[in-house]
Amino acid sequence: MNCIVIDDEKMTREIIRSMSEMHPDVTVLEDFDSPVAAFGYLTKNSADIDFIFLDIHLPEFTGFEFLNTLTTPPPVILISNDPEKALKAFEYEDIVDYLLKPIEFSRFAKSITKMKNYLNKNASNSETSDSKNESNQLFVNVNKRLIKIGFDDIEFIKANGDYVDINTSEKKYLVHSTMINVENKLPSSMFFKSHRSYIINLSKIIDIEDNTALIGKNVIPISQAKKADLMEKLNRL
Amino acid sequence: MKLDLSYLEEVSGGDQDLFQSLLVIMQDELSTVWEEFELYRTQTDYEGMHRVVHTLKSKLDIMKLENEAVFIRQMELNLGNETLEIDDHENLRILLEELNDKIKNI
Repeated sequence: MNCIVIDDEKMTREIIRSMSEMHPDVTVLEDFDSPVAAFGYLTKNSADIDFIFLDIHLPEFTGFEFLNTLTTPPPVILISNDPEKALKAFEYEDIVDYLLKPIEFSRFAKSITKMKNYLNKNASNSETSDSKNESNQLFVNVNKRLIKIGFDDIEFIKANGDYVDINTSEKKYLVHSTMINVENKLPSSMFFKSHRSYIINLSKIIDIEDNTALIGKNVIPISQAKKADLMEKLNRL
Repeated sequence: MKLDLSYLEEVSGGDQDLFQSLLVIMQDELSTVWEEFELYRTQTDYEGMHRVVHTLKSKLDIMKLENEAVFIRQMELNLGNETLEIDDHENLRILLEELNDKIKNI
């Protein structure tokens, strides 16, 4: 899972970076000392960001006010040294957990597990609704036309700024969406997020070498943290 | 005042370079607290003073300075009510002076 950290204290940002390096499931993409600095990055890279570590007490406005400015906020782990602010956190459905400073590693690890479960649950809810509709396809908006793409036809999806490239063997579709939205629409039994910028169709993998997978003529990166999970998903001898 | 750095040691996971860099961050951040506080005080900016004191609180918690943290919590409450006691102001100065002195000599 990829995240960003927003906290005005450099010490806290460094501690979260350090704990993330010790944890196999989380990568800090970037950290910011103010929500204003984070806003631009978040807008441009929303496809790559799975969640945010967000401080409540920030220079320009509070973490809660920052969340209110986002139209589709990513899930959040709040950080603060005010236990009494935890109650307010329950008003926000995207706040998954609340970490008190100074952050203990065992508590940090629990938060990461909670976040992982939250993201998996969202993905599987989407998958369940897909199966209820007996859907095996995706409709995408390309140049004001809704185009049907069968899951079987998709080779891989690549993040491309505020867009995603949906690559089939025949064609590439540039669609205005985020990686997390696309990931939630695809069955996890069939697709795998191999890297913060790539989702691959497992059945299209030709071979895997080191930290790359060959799909068609494309070499797709596999992040170190994801490799073990990918290996588990493959039907290996 | 006795600084307990076991939290920073634990977070560093035995990595001495990381421990040192966290210590430097702590020194740097603490060295500007008084200056920042005074700037907001001269502007009668209670929100700014409150934020500075709030940030200091987490540093005291990191170094397990419990008594000092109790004082800072009370001061934070007072500033939240737009009150700055003369004694609090002076005690903050003494606390930061001592803290900066101790942490520089680690």
